[in-house]
Amino acid sequence: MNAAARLAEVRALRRRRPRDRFLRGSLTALSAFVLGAWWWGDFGLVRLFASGRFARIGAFLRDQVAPAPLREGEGWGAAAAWAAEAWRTMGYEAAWRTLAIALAAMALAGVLAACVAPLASGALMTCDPFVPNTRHSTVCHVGWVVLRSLARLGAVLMRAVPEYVWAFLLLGLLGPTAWPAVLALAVHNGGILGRLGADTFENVPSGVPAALRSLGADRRQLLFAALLPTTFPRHLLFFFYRLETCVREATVLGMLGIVSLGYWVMEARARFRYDEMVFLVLLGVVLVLLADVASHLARRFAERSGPDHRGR
Amino acid sequence: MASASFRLDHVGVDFDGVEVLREVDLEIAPGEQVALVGPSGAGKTTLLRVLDGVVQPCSGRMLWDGRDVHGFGRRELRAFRASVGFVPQDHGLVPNLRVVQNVVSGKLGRRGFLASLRSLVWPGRDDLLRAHALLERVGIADRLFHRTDRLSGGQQQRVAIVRALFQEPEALLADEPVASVDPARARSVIRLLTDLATDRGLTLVVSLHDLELARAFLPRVVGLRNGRVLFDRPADRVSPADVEALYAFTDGVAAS
Repeated sequence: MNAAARLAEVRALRRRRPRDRFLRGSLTALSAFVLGAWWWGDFGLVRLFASGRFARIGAFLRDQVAPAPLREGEGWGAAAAWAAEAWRTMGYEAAWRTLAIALAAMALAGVLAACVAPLASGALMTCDPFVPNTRHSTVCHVGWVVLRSLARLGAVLMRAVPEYVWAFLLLGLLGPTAWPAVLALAVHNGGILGRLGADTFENVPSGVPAALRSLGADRRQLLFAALLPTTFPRHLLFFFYRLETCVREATVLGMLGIVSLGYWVMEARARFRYDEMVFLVLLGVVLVLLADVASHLARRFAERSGPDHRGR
Repeated sequence: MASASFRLDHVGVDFDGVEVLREVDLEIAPGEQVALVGPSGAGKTTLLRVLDGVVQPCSGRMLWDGRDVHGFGRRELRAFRASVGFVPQDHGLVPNLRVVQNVVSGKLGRRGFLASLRSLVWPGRDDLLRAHALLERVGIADRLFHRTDRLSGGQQQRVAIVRALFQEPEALLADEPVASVDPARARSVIRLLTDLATDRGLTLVVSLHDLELARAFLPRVVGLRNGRVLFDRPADRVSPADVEALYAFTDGVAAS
């Protein structure tokens, strides 16, 4: 075949190539929405870059955000003493209260998710899990679908309401204790983990559970003997990922008046002590980093403690 | 097309303390066609990966065209890897890309980042013509623009072979290319590989379970067992005793 003939052939093949119309349509629509959002969203790009704005930001950083001793020229030693004082008077309490809220909330979220995930998983909630092509009555079929849909719906409702809104609602019921924050984070994250857990169970390759089902295991046994062990590292990963988010969210919920980092941030701002405010914000960053390190270590541990899977 | 020579001197490889290859001496001349046979776990894949430059020997050395691969800098190592084509057992194709995109990936090792990105998104005329010609050679030219995962297993394997050829390699390595096909198909795949290598003067190394297939199509057979070379002879001189030693079992467990 000469080059010209081959080129014609290639072009003919390209014209006849299989196309995914849905993919094309959705990409076009998405691009249109994005462009439209920027065009009609009235963000006022000009305002962002208005003259003098950056100079004002610079002045603010220099005159307000830098720690007081540094601004007054007392040197780094004094600044360190200032930071130690800030840690002692509010940083310490803000940090541990924030961590405590996050940990308590995640413990509850874990329990909630453990209840929801198996019930919402399509892999387990069928007439005869992991056995393909079996004939069952419509009643049986529909029954299981209804059950798992209810569990799914529950998980959706739990996470559809943002934690901030949950906390806002609970604050009215429970008053200004840590409970509104703990429960809000527990419910929201329980919903998320429940859904992720259910999906994880559904994505387990059917080989292992099918083998155990074929020797007579019931649903709970399948859950504990096949699904959980094969997916355990994944659940850990999700749990610690949410824990990290939870530490961040516990900070934010403080802005409702619940005693966590966010509360002190608001309070420092109200006193126009921007240096203390920034100190507390940075403390929040450190907490999230700590949570990240903890999740990394836990995952490593989970991978190592599993059965030896070295291959050639 | 140029072809390459390999030489292994006392090569040993261990993974986490498990010895996979030990004291392997092997010399493969340019353009030579070699079958690597042995039971599962003999170290065939690892040996191929040493030849491919992606597993470093823990002891001994690997010479490519007379040069020690261990001494290669980043650039030389990349050039070396680009000149050795590897057809993995599981094909290693991106399932949701079109066949042509998988094929032009063969040139990744020879192209800069932007050029390769461009060729993936919008392959140039030369790339298209070459990909089409190679696919035609293996009998699936009409699949040029199909999604790769819509192809049958055998067709996907041929795409993987074409990707390796698109690389313009000097040597072609194939890891268990017939592990999951029926005997008739197995013969045609091996014949395709040897024909392609002969046409282009490529050095060819194929790992196989099946000693009979190896003897029928490849002029030289290397028997590997427990990470050691058990025999290395012309195909017509492989004796029944060799076969016995290669696949010997004691109490159902391969003897060491």
